[in-house]
Amino acid sequence: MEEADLLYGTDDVGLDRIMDAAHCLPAEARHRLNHLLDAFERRFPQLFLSVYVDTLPAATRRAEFGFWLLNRAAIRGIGATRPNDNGILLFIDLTSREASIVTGYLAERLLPARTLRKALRRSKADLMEGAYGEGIAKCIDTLDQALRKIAIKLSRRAKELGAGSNQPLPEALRRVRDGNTDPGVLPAPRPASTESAPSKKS
Amino acid sequence: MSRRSPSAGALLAALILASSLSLAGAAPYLPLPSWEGASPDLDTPLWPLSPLSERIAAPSAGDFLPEVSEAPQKEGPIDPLAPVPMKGDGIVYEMRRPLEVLDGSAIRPEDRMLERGTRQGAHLPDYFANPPQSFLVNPQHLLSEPQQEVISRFLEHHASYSKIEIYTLVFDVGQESSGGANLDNSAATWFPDRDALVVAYFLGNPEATQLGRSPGLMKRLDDARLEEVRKGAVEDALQLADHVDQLDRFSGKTSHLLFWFEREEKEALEKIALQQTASDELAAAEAAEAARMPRPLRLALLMGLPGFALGGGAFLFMRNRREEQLAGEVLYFGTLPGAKRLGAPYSGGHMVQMSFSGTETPD
Repeated sequence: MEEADLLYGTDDVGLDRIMDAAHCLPAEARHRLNHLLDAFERRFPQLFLSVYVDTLPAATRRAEFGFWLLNRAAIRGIGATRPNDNGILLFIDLTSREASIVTGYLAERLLPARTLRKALRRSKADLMEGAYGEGIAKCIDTLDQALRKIAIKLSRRAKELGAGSNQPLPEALRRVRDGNTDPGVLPAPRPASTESAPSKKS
Repeated sequence: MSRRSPSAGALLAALILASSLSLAGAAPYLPLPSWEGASPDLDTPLWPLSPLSERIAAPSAGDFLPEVSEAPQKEGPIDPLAPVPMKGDGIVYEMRRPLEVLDGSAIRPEDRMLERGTRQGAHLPDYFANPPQSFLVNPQHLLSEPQQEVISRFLEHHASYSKIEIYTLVFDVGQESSGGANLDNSAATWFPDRDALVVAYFLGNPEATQLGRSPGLMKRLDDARLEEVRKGAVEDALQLADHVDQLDRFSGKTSHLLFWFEREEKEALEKIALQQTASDELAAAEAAEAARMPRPLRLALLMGLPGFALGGGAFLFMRNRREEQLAGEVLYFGTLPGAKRLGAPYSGGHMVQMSFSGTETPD
């Protein structure tokens, strides 16, 4: 990272969610991509996806640049609830005609290289034809679908783990939340049936 | 009157002809080309014959001439227009002298017509009143008997190997051929059940030749192909100067072109039949294969296919439904802590690259 900072700087760089420095995306495509990214962020409140399209000098080491960019980018409109750990950066260089996906620490746990490769492959034909908007949209869609599946798997696993937490604890241990139901600390919740309801007088 | 004066040369020619015809009468035509493997050759004649006038004057091996006997010798001056007795079923033919040269000078066709006193259309009933009784119809005796015989025999020979008969009606130059009637109509009337080509040939003017087809032939030989036949035969005929030679060549070329037409037609039909046979055999083989399949297997297939389709449909339905449910769902992943690398605060450089300049997909 230090080497990259030496090359590109240590200051954070401001980045739009869709940064078209190469001016290759028509307004209509940008509009559509913004809709897709809105939906993505609504569905995955922890994650964000950013697109950066540029024509870099030929000598630029793109892998290094992508790595540095995600670490130094301050993406406008992305709240503090979504740190760059949770970010996915789609980076397209029109000089070398290469597309890259760089992921933060959280996103890399969710998206294996195989999934990222699949997303890029799906967009390849459109990128080759210069339909960048369409290619980027397909890439986003592939990542969206993959993350949905992963979320379902994780939720199932969480349910299984949650079922395990209902096991009776040893006598010496007591759940924190149990204390909140202690009648001496807080009033006990009113039961639904009248038979077992405690009298106000008592 | 000078045309009627005796000519020793003509007499000599008649005698030579009469004697030579008996020698060459049975000579066969050259064998037809093989239908298998031979490609159509429209230029090389099937029978490389010399012009009819030369053949009659000096026949050679391979030439075909009708069988006649020697003419009886007569003493004294011979009238060149007198009938030449010839043997053949007891019929005595009246041999006409070549029309073009009687006393060494050429007769113009119009003179010939005037000589006969042909009035407009008077000859037509001779051609069209009844169906042709032979392949060469020559009621005006525009051809001499040997000429008529040779060409008739050739047309008979053509009919012996071809399913398309050629009926040639010989008219004089400038004559009316059909009195306004269509030759196709005449062919249809005369040959309703046969494939016949009716040729109205104008002696001395091959380019005016008209062709008519019987209904059967009309189905096989379209207008374009008919015109090709006509043009090809006319072009060949025009290469000769003598009017009768032209007719002879015209008949030969017509036969030649029809020969190759029939060959192509036969090959096309055989090809279609082969394809039909192959598809029939394939269908039969498939049916036999299906019949050989064990009954339980067939039953399983019959039951399994709808089951598979139902199962697949249900799977797709459930999957779509699940995706629709997920579409509006907010999904969290929780926290998945991982070690930071390379001194980088947010990303450890996990990335995938792809080139879209060529076909390779590097990681």
